[in-house]
Amino acid sequence: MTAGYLPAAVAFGVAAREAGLSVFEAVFMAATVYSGASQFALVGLISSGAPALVAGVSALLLSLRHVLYGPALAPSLRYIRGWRVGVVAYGLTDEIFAVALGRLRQRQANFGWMMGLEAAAWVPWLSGIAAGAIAGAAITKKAPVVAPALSFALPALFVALLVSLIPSDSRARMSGNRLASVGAILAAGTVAAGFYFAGQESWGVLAAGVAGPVAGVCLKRWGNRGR
Amino acid sequence: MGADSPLLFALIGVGVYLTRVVPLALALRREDDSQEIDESDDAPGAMDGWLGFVGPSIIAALLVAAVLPEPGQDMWLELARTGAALAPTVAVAVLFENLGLTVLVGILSYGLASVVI
Repeated sequence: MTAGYLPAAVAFGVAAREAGLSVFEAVFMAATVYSGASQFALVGLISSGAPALVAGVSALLLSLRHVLYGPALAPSLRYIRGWRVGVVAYGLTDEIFAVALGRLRQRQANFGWMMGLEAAAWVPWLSGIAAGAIAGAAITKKAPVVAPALSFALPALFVALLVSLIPSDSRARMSGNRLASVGAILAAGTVAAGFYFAGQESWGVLAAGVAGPVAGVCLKRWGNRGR
Repeated sequence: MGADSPLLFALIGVGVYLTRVVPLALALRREDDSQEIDESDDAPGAMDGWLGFVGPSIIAALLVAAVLPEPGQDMWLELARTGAALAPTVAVAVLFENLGLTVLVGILSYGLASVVI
């Protein structure tokens, strides 16, 4: 997990600096928001000059998927109580959820197990972002070809997240079937492209956040009716 | 960014945290009440039907916005570079489902495409 987090974290640190954030702001954002997709979305929207309200709403809409994680894991977290629930919830990222869901199918997790798992993500994420934010500018200054290459870290991360969010057979029950998810993605992408070419990039994200789920729900109902 | 950006980040952070902690706390309380919760009942229908699509949809929109050429760039040249970089990136993402490896391949592919094309 650490190996997976580090390159993305360094890339985020570089992207945050290129978007005009200070090292402190990049690390502070990572520590408070602590959601890769929301963080990259914020940086992308900030660099495109989107208003703070649009950036904030987009990031929060993007994090709505987290609502599903706690209830799905709760049967395996019965031994975690009180303030520990709040601590565990802070680190419930996409990757932690996926790993925990896979490992805890047959057993209960205690607080220490969850802390160990979450630390394996939190430590490389924040330290990688700090390293990228501090050294990224120097690297891109000495090797200019690195800058455009690093700029592709953002789309590459979105590709990775998208693929991970398209339900496999074992996850289909949670997130809808594969056809509906692909339909939602295509609808959202089309709407976003339309808004982009109309010069309304930041609003396109919000519009896609509505159009995609509408298409997904319709496809899912249509698929269920056909069975 | 302005001096108020940490406040913005903190507010968003609170919102993100609430989306994690409230459902978890409520679900654990239901566990306390000794109500057997089957996995199939974890996500109420409305959430399962709607929220499950919100994340992928927004990420798709962000991906589109990130790969489309910015004004002033040579549109077809940029699209060719992006396409050349996206193909191996998507392939690695599908084959390995590894976030770090996908990002690394994406960066290398786009760097190579920028030099060659």
